[in-house]
Amino acid sequence: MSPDFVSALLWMQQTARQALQQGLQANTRTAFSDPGSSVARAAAAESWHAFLLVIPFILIAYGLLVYVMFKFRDKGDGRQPATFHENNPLEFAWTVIPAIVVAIVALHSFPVLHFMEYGGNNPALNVDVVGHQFFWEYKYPAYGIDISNDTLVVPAHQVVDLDLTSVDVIHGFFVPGLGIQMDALPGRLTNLWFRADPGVYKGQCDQLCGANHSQMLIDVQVLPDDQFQAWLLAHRSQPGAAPAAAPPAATAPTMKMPAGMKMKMPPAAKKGGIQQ
Amino acid sequence: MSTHAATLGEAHRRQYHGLLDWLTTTDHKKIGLMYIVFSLANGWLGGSLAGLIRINLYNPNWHIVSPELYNQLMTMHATIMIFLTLMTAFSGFGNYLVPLMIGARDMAFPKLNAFAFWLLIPAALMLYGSFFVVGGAAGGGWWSYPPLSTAQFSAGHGEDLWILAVILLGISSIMGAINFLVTVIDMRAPGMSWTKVPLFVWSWVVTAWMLVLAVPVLSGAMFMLLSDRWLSTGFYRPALGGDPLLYQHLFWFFGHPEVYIMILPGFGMVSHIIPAMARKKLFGYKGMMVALWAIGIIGFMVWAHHMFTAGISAEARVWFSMASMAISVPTGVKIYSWLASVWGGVIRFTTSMKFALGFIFTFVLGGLSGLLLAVVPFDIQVHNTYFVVAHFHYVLVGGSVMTLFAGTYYWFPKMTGRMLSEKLGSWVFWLFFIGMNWVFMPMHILGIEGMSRRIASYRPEFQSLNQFISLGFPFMLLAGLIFTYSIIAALRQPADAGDDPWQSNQIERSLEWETSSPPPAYNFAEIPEVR
Repeated sequence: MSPDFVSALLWMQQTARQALQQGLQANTRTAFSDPGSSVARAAAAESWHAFLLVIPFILIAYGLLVYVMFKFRDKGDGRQPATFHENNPLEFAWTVIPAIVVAIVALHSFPVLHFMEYGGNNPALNVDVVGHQFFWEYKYPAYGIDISNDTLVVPAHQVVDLDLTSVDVIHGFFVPGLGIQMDALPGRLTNLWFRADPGVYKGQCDQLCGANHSQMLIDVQVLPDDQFQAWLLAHRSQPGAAPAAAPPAATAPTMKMPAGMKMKMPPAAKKGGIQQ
Repeated sequence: MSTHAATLGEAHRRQYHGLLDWLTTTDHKKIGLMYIVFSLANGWLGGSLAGLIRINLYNPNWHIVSPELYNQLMTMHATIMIFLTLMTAFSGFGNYLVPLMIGARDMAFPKLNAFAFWLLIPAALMLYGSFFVVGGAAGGGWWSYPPLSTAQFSAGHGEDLWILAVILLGISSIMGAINFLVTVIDMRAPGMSWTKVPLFVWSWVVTAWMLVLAVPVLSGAMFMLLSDRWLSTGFYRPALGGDPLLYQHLFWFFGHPEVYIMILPGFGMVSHIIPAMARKKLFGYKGMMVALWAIGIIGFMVWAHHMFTAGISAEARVWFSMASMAISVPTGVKIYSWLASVWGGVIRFTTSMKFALGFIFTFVLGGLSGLLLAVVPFDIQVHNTYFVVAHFHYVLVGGSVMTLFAGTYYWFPKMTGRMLSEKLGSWVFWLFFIGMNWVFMPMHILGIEGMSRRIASYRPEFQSLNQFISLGFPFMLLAGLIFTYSIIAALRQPADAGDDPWQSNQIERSLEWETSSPPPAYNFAEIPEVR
């Protein structure tokens, strides 16, 4: 064998091994593979409920399609085609039965929707999430923390409430492992909540926001409470930041601005934020 | 009108010959053919953009195109495929077949018909030309959501050209739709009551109503966007008291009916092809007709399911979720009725029948993944991911394009007097069917794994599936090449197909098969009577 051929083989083997390792290291958690919050678990369970009711209809249609294709093909034996072209009970059945199943799928999902929308009462932590082209800014109004282009750090097993908005175009806050997705629109406040297990969650902007949309990633780190308190301590008392122990009045979300008011960020807060 | 008078009429209308004849014609058949050729050309161009996208996504580190250009390619792929390929293809088949099927000599407004077609040319030139202006083509996706599409974030004139092209295409569609409605309402052959109108014609009646009601909303939204861009208005600008969410409501009020505009005529075509090839009358004509209307009407009440993560209230999402799921009921009626039409028949597996049955296979998947997307908790998990990309490609490629292939193989002999090669047709079908499932089936998995759509680059864990998907593209490309070659090859053959090459009229009478292939300019020497 020529050396070229051997080196090509070696290259192929190396590439295949790398691809395999990539695949094994893949750890994009999703609500289906590894749900990391109560919201994700509820959504995944509801999705499976819908799958199990819908998949039989796919199978019925495919079964019928394959059956008629083989059963009624022209075998050249002179068989005459059937002449029926109406059957009211049959038509009634295939209208009403799917309608009932669809109604079950719909009605069953609404309590879960209600939970995903309204289940996050008495949050332990409020974070204001501000979308920028092309990074996220996280503000912890109760602690005077304002970080940009960094990991969102939240406590585990507690309700975390996110208020989202944007200073420029529409962005989408999407973290599959936490089962959450919501757009961040300029001039509007949208809301998300979750109660997560400890861990690291990847996500990304999910609403086309310009040239570097694909680079607008999200990292969420969910820490056990003691570690989260340590993280807070390390970040909260920074010179120039808001008072460490903010009075209750100041803990209200800082972004309940009237619709239409354009947010103005000081350039320093935009890029670096308060990092250390 | 006697044959003689009709011939005289033709002589009167044909003032020019050759190219000038095509440029000045008001004959619905010639206009229909021009629509179809226009659609095929744009299908090639829009498909090439898809090829570039797939090459770029083969490896997230290649960066063959810049992210700006990627967004432009993705935006223009959608715009070209939707407005210039699918809508024009169905307009072409509608133009050609509707007057023939109802026994008319032409459309109600032949000059308006020609005008509607010729408006496509400047619109297409603006869209393709926009790649070459400073800043390039529009890159905000085919939804063109503000604020990204406002002057502040998309300063280039590509966006303006895109808006103007969409407005022009909308005007063309509205004119075409009004023409279809008047033609079908006023010019049906004697005896053709509304319960005897062929289903393809019915599908165009519903489609035309949807166009007339939906497209003006799009045009209005586009004018407001243009005005926001250059006239300092603030319809969508929060700083001036506007709201970007308003645009989303207006856009999707058009955008969702648009999906049905692009599939209902395909439903109509399949409802002709399946009975003819199974040698058995269509099952449940009235149910099919009611289902068309149900889809058309409910289709206007579901638009905000595109906005489940846009911050609309939970109560609104309950309504839009329920209405969206309700559409699957009449859609299911159609699927079952087609299967019942085949039941007990004697199937000829012609290429058109293969495409029609293949369409059922792919459309069932596209329709039911759509039903799942209407379940809000599930939608939130996969909204704007590749699951949605998979879903709408199963609807638009597995639905619309498959029906267009089926319709082309079925009516090509009527339009040209020549048969398309069935041998090549088999290759076209299998290559396209395997290719499209190869490309779009794994996208469901990518979406469930959390890969966002519209991204020029992705995390390494998505690479192996993306490579697999890209390798399926050549199958679709090859199918397109053979299909195009097959058309050119067939046109070089003598026109000897005969009036009714599929013996369709022995199954169910449809007037287009009662005239010659291709039909004379006056369509029918004697207007046929329907009893």
